[in-house]
Amino acid sequence: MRPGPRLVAVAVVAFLLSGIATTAYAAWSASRPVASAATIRSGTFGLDAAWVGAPSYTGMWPQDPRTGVARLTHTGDGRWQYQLAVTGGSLAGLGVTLLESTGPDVADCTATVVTPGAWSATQPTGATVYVCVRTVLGAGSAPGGSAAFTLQATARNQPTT
Amino acid sequence: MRKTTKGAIAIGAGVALLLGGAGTLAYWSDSKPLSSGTTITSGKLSVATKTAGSWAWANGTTTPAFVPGTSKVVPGDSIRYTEVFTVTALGSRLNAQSSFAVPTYSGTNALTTALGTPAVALTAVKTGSGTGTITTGTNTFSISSPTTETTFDVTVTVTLTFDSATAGLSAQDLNAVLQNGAVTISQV
Repeated sequence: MRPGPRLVAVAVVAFLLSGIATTAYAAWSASRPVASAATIRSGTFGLDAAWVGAPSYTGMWPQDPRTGVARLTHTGDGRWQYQLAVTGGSLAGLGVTLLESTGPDVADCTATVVTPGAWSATQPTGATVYVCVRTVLGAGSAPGGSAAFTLQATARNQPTT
Repeated sequence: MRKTTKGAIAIGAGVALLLGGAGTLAYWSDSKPLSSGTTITSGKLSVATKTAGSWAWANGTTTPAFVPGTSKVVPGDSIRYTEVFTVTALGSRLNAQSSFAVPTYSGTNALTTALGTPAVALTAVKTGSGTGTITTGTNTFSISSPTTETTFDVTVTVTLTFDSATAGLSAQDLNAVLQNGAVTISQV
């Protein structure tokens, strides 16, 4: 029995949909992966701030300078900068000056002033810096008073290299 | 005459007629080889690594070296992947077109957000003395008429930049894994 027209049409459609037909229209193509499977990790960032020893600000009198040393240590990755700010100081005539220091001792303090609110030079990863905090009572300060100030250290990261 | 003798004569006559008839029915015939010694050679289209891909810091100094999976990026960092491929094309009427799949991240987190979509760049230059020509576009290229084997150097870079505006302590200690990046050259 000869196949009817409908059967022939079905056979042609089936052929066109088959893999043979697909292969007939294929073209060459070559490919290579790029940057795949690479893992990029982010680092961390932190700042430790503490006094070196216990600075004494008691029993001060006018023009009697007292100096404490603050230590700032970076933790984590990347480079960093720091910024210092002094707030408070309710006693009239209390002067607070920040000075750069080359080490943890008062004897390491330099005459270079650290400007409050200004960002420092970029520091290397994990570096520790020391800052001298020099306080002086003004000449007109009354005896028996007290004052409080806060040294606020802020750090921000910088690119790794 | 005996019957057997008559039979033998009849068979002999029949054979003679058949032989004679074969000769009579032949026609002239000649033959020449048409495709003998003809070699059909296929062309070539391939892409292979010429210089293995490597990562490096893209800003600041390049040391210490950036090592994927080990080095840790921070806001403001920029890193770049560079790989050089060799594309080889041969075909009398071959035309080919490149395409580039920008790598994606296998997942999403604050780090992938801070890194953003990778920036890619692709440059292609012809090397050697092949006859193929190359037309370059923005991160694409096409090859035409490499009737002799022609090679091209294709340099691909993928750059990631950690958004320096990443605030507070977000996007720390996370992983971003790249996937599905590919350079493809296809016959058109």
